[in-house]
Amino acid sequence: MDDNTTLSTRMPWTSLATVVGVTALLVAALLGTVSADRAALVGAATGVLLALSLWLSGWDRWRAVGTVLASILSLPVAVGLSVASAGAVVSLGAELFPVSSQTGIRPAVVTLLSQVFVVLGCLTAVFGASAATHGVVDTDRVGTYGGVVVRTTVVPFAVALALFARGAVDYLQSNAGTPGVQQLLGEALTQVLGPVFDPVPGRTHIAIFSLLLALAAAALARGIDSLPLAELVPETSEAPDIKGPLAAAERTLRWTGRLALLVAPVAGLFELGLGQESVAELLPRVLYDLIVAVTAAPGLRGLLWWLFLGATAVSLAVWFLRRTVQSSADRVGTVLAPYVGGGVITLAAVAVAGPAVGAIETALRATPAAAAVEQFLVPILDVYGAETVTLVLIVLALFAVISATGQLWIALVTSYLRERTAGVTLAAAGLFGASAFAATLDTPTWLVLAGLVGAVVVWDAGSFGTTLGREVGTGAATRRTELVHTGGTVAVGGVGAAATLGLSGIAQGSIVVEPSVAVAGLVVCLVAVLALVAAIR
Amino acid sequence: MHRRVRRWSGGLAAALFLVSVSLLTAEPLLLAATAIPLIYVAYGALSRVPAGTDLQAARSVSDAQPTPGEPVEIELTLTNTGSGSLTDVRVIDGVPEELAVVDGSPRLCTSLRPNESATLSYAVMAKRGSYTFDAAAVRVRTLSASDEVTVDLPVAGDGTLTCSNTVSEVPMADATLPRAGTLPTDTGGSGLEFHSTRSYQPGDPVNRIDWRRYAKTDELTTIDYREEQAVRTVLVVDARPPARVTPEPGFPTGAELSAYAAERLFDALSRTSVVASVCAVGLAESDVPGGLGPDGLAWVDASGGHAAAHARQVFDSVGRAAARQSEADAAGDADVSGTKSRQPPGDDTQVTTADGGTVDDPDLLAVLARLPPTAQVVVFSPAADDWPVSLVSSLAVRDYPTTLVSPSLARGDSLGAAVAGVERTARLQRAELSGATVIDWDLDSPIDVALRASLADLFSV
Repeated sequence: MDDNTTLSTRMPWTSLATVVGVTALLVAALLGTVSADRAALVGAATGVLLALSLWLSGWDRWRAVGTVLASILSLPVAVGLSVASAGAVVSLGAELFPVSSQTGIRPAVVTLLSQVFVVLGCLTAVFGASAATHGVVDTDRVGTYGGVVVRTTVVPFAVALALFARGAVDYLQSNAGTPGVQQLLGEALTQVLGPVFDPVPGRTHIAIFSLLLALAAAALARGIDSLPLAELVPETSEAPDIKGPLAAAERTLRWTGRLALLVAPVAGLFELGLGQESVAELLPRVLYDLIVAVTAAPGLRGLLWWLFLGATAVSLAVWFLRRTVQSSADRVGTVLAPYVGGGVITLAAVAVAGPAVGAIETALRATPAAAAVEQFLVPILDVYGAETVTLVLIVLALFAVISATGQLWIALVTSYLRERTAGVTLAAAGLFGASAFAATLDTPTWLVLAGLVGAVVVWDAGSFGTTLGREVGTGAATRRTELVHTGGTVAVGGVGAAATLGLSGIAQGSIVVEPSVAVAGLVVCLVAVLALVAAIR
Repeated sequence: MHRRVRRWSGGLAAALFLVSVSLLTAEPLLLAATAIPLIYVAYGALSRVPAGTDLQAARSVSDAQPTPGEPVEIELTLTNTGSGSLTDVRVIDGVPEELAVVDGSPRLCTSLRPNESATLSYAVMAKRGSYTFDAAAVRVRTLSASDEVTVDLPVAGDGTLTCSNTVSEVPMADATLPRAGTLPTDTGGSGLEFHSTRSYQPGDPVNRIDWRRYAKTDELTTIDYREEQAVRTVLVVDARPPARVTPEPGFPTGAELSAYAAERLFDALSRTSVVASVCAVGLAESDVPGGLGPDGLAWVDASGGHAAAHARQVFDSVGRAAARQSEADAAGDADVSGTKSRQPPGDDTQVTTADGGTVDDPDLLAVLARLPPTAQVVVFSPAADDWPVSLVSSLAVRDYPTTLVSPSLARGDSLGAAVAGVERTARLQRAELSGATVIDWDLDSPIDVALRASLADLFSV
């Protein structure tokens, strides 16, 4: 029997129903033990959205549409991930703190962390089970999705950076008069930008003006060169010949730029070395006045600056169009889609910035971190504005998604997660972890044991079903075998649960060692887990 | 082959994880709960496939000698003849690679108690040739799926599927012709039907002298009968790439069905002493043993020696060309849905239209150049493009009695199949308008029925 058949690797319906059903039941029961209801629900929904995003990013039928949707969905995924982790911490922090005595801090921290881990475990379980339904967790797809999220993040990141830089410049310039570092930075900025955009009137600024002129002329020449103007004119005898004038204009602009570039250092030497009086004496009065009027006019400089920007934008647009017309529409759509999604996310962030920041501020004020809100958040909002802060938060959340996707990709590449069973392994791991941490909360023992056994059943049914689907295919009748196999696993789990209940009476009070010994034991256990996992792989 | 699967080893890591969380949170229940993953580890380690495992398999084929394009039901029965129950038995029947499974699955996974049987049934599409089934691959796993044994299990019962062209019934067996030929002509001579009388000429056969007239008038006259000449029949098989379309994967292509129909007719004609030549159009040099003729046609003349054997080679070549095309399509991941015709890259697309008037297709020109001056032509083509219509029109212009036999490939209700069906019907109508007899062979009825109709028309019997 060949293991490398080309059959579908999807698992049969019975196994799939077992995986999805057991996961759904256990997640619902485990999330019921968490007091941060909203974070728990958002976490579960985020798991489904993440699986949907992965499926969309590998949607072959409508690749561009799938990429756009996956790109746009990265915002709710990022927000959901943040709410499920940071949001749960904030919500539980407000609920559990302040504590009445110092001895209450540790249990409160353990409870908070356990609840957060339960939420994250359930998120992972929901994601894994959803992904297992279509087998969407594979190296290529996760890599593609990671690329989509990275490219999606580029736009809000760039906008946030620009807004941040503008806010910083405005703030520093507005604080140039105050003492301290801000003054130094503000003065430095004023000294750099002032001569360029706001020259001192009544004297010549030939050097800087020449530099601006050179930049604008070179950019214009390049822009004209890149535009297909001559090609757009019809090739008839009546059509005007614009090739000659265009070439002449381009040549003139290039020479103007070169000349301006030559003039700049010489003029700079004269202006700095001789001083304005000597320059005024050297030149005829009319000429000097003309040069002063031209080189010190802020409007003219603004025009040159915008010409430079416009011509550069045209050159880039033409270059981009020349590249894209050589590719297929679907390919272009796939490449551009994440940037479009990033643009949509940026616009959405700007649109909801005020209410979003208000909600975050209100939530934070209810926690022990209320003082920090007053100390840090409010001044930051005053300086940078709600839009910038919202965009920065979204970019950070997107970075979290990129990080999670990257970890998943590394796990797949290094075969710590096998592609065939990645979904069910994640679901089982999430359930197992959530059940283990739920044991530290006021969770009934039966639920903890059911969670632990259920996690094993989910993994076993999923991996067994995947093997079955690969070897026999989903078209064959396999239900009987699947039910017998799962029944065996549940029965063995029942024996394990009974053994646990028997042992728990003996283990009661067994962990009464010193904290330092417990920590040492913990470290040993963690190292052993890592070594064992590495050895198994 | 015996193999251990280490699928429960992760339980150790899970147990250590529980110990870690237990230490972190001082929760004794988790320490006790390590029993759960550890018991699974033990479960996987201790489970073994029982030693006395024994299985037997038997196969039955519903029709061991089907006709091409006919689904054949196959059943494989697996019986646990050992003493222990088998919780996970997986079996894959050894279906010959050439046969496509069109219904059901040749794979089964089940649990079997002692002396219990399980049957898997599926259908394959019959293709021309003889195919032998391989042994069934069987894999037995334990309940924990951590131990498995894989064997090739010999299967009792039917092991071969033969789909040959042996003519069990000659379509026109009741029309054996005791004459030199079958085409009535307008000239007098020897024959059966009275044509005219003429003056006796020395050398005329004595049995054709009208003795009654001689008795009455004392003049010798000779009776001429309507002469019946043997004409040549040329069977043209359209095996060009556009004709190698198939409605479903595994189903015979249009070219293969055309060749099959031509072969049936060739066999029938051979028995009725009609002189038949065979010509296949669109084959590659490598498809035909001995290569093609200089004009690019695979032509078998009735006058040559071993004509029947050569004709069979040509029919086989059509099957080879179709197989080559399907392999190339599979390599190129081509979509084979619907009956839409496909032109291979680089193929000469200068196909004349039926009403175009000009003939510049090299295959068509070659056929026209090669045809004898008096011949009846039977064209076999799925009419997936305009080429057969152009050929039929060109033949009609040259006064060749022509018949077009076209297997209908349209299957399913898909839009592509409907469009292809409409296009084909239009082509057949155009062929009929140009003066040819059109036989639309619906694959649900045997080709013999269609051939009877065509033979009746062709030979005026």
